[in-house]
Amino acid sequence: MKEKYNIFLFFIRLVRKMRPNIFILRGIYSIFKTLEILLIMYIPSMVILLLSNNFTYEKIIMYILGTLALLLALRIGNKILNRNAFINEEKFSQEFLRDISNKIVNVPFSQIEDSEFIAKKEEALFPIKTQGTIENLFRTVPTIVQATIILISVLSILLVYEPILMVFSILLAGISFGLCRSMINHEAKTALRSARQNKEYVYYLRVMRSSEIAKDVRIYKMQPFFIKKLASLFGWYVQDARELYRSREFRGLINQVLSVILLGTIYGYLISKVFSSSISGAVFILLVNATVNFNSQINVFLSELLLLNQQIIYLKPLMEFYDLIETKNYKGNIVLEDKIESMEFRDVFFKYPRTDEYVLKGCSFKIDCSENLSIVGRNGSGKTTIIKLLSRLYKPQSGEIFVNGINIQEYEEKSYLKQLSIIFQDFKTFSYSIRENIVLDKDFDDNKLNDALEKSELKKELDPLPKGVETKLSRHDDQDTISLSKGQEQKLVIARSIYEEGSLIILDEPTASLDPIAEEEVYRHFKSITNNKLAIFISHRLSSCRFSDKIIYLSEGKVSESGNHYDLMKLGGDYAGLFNLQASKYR
Amino acid sequence: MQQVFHNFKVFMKQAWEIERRYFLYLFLSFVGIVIFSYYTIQTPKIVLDMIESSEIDIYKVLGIFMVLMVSALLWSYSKVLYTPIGHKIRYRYLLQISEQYISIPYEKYDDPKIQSDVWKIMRPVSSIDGVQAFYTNIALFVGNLGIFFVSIGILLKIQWWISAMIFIWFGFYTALSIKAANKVDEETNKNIHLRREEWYLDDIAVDVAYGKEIRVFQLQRWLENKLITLHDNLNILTRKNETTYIIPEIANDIFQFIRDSLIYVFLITLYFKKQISIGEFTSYSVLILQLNSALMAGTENIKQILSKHDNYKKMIDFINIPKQSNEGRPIDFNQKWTIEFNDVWFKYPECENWIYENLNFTIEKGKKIAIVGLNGVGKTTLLKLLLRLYRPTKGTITLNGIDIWEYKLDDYFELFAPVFQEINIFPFTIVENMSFGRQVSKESILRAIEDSGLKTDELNNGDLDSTYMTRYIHSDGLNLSGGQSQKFVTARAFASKRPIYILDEPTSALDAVAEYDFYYKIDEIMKEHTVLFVSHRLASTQFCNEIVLIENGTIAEKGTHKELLDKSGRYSELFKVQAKYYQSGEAI
Repeated sequence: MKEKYNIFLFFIRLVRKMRPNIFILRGIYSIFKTLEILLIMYIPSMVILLLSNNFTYEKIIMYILGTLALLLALRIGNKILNRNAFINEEKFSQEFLRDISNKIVNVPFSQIEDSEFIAKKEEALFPIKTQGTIENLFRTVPTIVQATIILISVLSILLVYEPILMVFSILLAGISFGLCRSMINHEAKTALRSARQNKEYVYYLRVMRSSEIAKDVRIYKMQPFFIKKLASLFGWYVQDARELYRSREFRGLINQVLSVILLGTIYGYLISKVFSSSISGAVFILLVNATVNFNSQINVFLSELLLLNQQIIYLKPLMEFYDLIETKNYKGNIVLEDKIESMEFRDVFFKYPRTDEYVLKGCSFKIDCSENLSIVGRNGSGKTTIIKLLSRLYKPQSGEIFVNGINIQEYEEKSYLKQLSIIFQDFKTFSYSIRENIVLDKDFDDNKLNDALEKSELKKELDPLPKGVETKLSRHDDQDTISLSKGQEQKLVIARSIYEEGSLIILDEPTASLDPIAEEEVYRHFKSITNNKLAIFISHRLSSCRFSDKIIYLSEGKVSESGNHYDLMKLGGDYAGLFNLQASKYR
Repeated sequence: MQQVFHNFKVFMKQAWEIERRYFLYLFLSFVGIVIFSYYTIQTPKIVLDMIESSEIDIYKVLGIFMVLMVSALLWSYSKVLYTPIGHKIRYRYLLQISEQYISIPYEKYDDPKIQSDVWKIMRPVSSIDGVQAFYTNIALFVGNLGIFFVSIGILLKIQWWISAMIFIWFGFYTALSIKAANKVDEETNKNIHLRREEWYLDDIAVDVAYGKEIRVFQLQRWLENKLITLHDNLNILTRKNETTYIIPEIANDIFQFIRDSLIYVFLITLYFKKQISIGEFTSYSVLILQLNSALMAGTENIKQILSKHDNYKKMIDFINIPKQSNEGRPIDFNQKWTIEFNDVWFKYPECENWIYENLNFTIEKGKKIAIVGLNGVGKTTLLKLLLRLYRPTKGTITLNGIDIWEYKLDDYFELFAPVFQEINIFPFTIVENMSFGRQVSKESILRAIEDSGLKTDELNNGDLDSTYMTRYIHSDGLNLSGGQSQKFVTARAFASKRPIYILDEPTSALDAVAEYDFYYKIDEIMKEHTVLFVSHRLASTQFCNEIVLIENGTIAEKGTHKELLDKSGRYSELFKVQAKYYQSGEAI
């Protein structure tokens, strides 16, 4: 109970932080809505009262028309209030989703690589996206308040006329509540189980929507396989839902039966009362209406209370997810204003979370004075890991990384990352315009963009496009879009890194998909791209090493050879072996 | 209206096929609700009569009580039974849509219009509000119809003009509501790209590859702004839709005011003329209110049943698109064969530029052909044409002299084992990743893995059945590095045992030694096979016995590696560009 209360508070705090005016709007709405319901209930009794109290015809008509007009005003006013509250609640939902998305893109990278974190996110957001948890919360809380007020007013009517009826009504309501309780808990559990399977469904949706997978699926005839998987998943869904719906409707049945019993008893009781002449026919009708109202409001009250309970259970994974979110714990506050002029790895040890084997075991190297460094090594030797450490996606377990003589953890993050221009091996493009893909969030400068387009060799790819750089690479908007080939995408990210203007350029396999001419052009521009800058180059094509001032060969998590191309060739070690192996086919 | 009727027929037929009992439950619900509402409305009157005549019939009272009890049970219990059926049918439709989506010809699939259409098509089944609501509301409507009939019977006894007014308004209000619902639906469809974008942004936030990019380029703010713009647009839509919804409702409020005023004035006048008693007055007004609430609930049901039919139709039409035909000539796999491109012209639909003009090209059994050319000359397009993913705009591609499109599709696909540049590893077991439900022996999978250069200790010691790949679904799944992944998908092609390998840059993520090993073994592994090989690393084309250089939409040069080098043409030029970095000598 305390836990649920905490979850509820957690939600309330979120609302207070993001859209506090919802409380005001919903508060006013609740009061007026209660008035509306009470008025609807009161009007028939009022008419009877007026009729039996010998008012004049005109007066009665005036009273009634006046009351009906008030009701009309309340109804319209409530609709408008409700609409505005709803729009605000929508905004809250959006702000809330943005908040989550914002938190996710800011968590340490290791969490993004942690599939359990991602699974938790799916679990937390599933009920919000598909069960309307937030909308339900906003609806149930005011409804419960309304129902409570109405119940109290009806109960006081009953108390005045027939206290026994009141006790009996409360008793039946209690029974109904007791019977439904365990079912509700069971329902919430079933719903959560479905939520866990959701990540599987989300995956299949992705398979279907991915044009990268579509070719494989067709030619290798994977369709029956996927459909079988999907069918068995849906089988689970349907089974769970059947349980859920049956349980939910069964609660409705219990309430229905109890209400018939309540009604029957009241009739029996009142009839005997009428016969003993202790109440009049008119009061009889009033009391019947009151108990019927009590019964329907108690149903509303209970089912909304139970719905609230269920939504709170749904919110639990969300709260847990919030707890999981780590904030980056870089305390660095030195603002890096100068260009990066030197970089050093000193005895760095690193292993990935949840693995036992160290990728880097005492890795040390150094570059300075606008040197070009090539990192060479076999698959899995830790080349890409070095980039991840340098870009502070991960932190070494021991050892230090220095930039301009200061440990990189000491730098303020924004200014530090601004100095880096990185092309990752598994680079990504965004489904917005080409220009946006290059400029990203930086200030737009036409000359700079042109320069980047020229040097990356992207310009001639764009010439045939009527909209040029404004062409969209869109997957969600279907007008005037293109999909780039892998080679063209590679040119695009090269352009991006040129535009970035960092002082440390890191290129991980930047020419893997380029044809010989384009590769040659990139190499040719390479000098001017990296002019006066530090550059780190990773490639399996050792031809690229010919430009480098310095080459390090990684083996067993350490630098085993270092020097320039000629030194290493003369050394005749692993590097020379690798180079000759590749060169053998070009001689 | 005809469309609604058509959809209705289709939906009912579907229910008949999947859960025939649905109709029985509808019937039970109807019976239950008719009896229940009749007696609920009648009870106050019966009791009042008893009170007035001072004669109590205890058996009658008990009888009514029992009837109410049984009918309430019948009504509620049928609801327990029919509610899950709509859900079941909804998932049945979703499965059918998925099956269609995953099977439509690639040519159509690649069309961005289809991609956005599918979002619309999925709408009726992606939430409760749609097909599922349709089935539930049919049942509820049947119930309301019951109340409706009961009320009519009683109402006819009162003033005809009151009933007529209520009915006319009911028709009018229902029409308004349906129109509003359809308008909202249309607006939502028009803005479906916003939902797609939201999905996309949500997706990339948790994607590992995007994760690096977002962090290092500091794109957090940029993405947030994208979301804010998107949400602003969604809010405009919400505002608009809410306004559309609220107008008929306010009209209804005004109507209710007029109706209530008229009824009360009328009844009070009757009372003052001493034509009715207070008791009658009360039961009339209760009756009218009950009728009204039944009709309003009916409006909600009818709205749910009659709106959104444009989307339903799209969905049904999509499901009914005939499956890509698997008819055609069978292929004899043992025969000698040749594939020929005869004067093939090709351009993408709605594009101006020809990718290929007059392409002629022959693939013979057992040949190993390298396709080279600059970025964007259409090497991948050539593969798509060959793989029947796209149709030539002009000219034909033939297999043994017969158009490839005339062969049985399954047989035709069975010829090719492609390794595309996009590396797809699925979150299933290794066996499933290799076979996808086809019968493939474990030995041949292990063999294929070994041939690809992967070591079994890189794959959980070769535990093929219980090792899940990737951590997407199974948190203890196996994640491979880039190089390992590339070998893994190559192994998939090997395991398929199909006669023609299509290798598109199959070693782009491998290091020099692994690459060398791959090409060293390739002659041995692919002795029997035909190979189409695409690569920018011209040195690795040497195992091929024919090299085809594509330029300007046609084949510019053709021959063996040696022939082309001797010819000193374009190929040799390209080769030299790459080779110069590997020559010993001074810095370049």
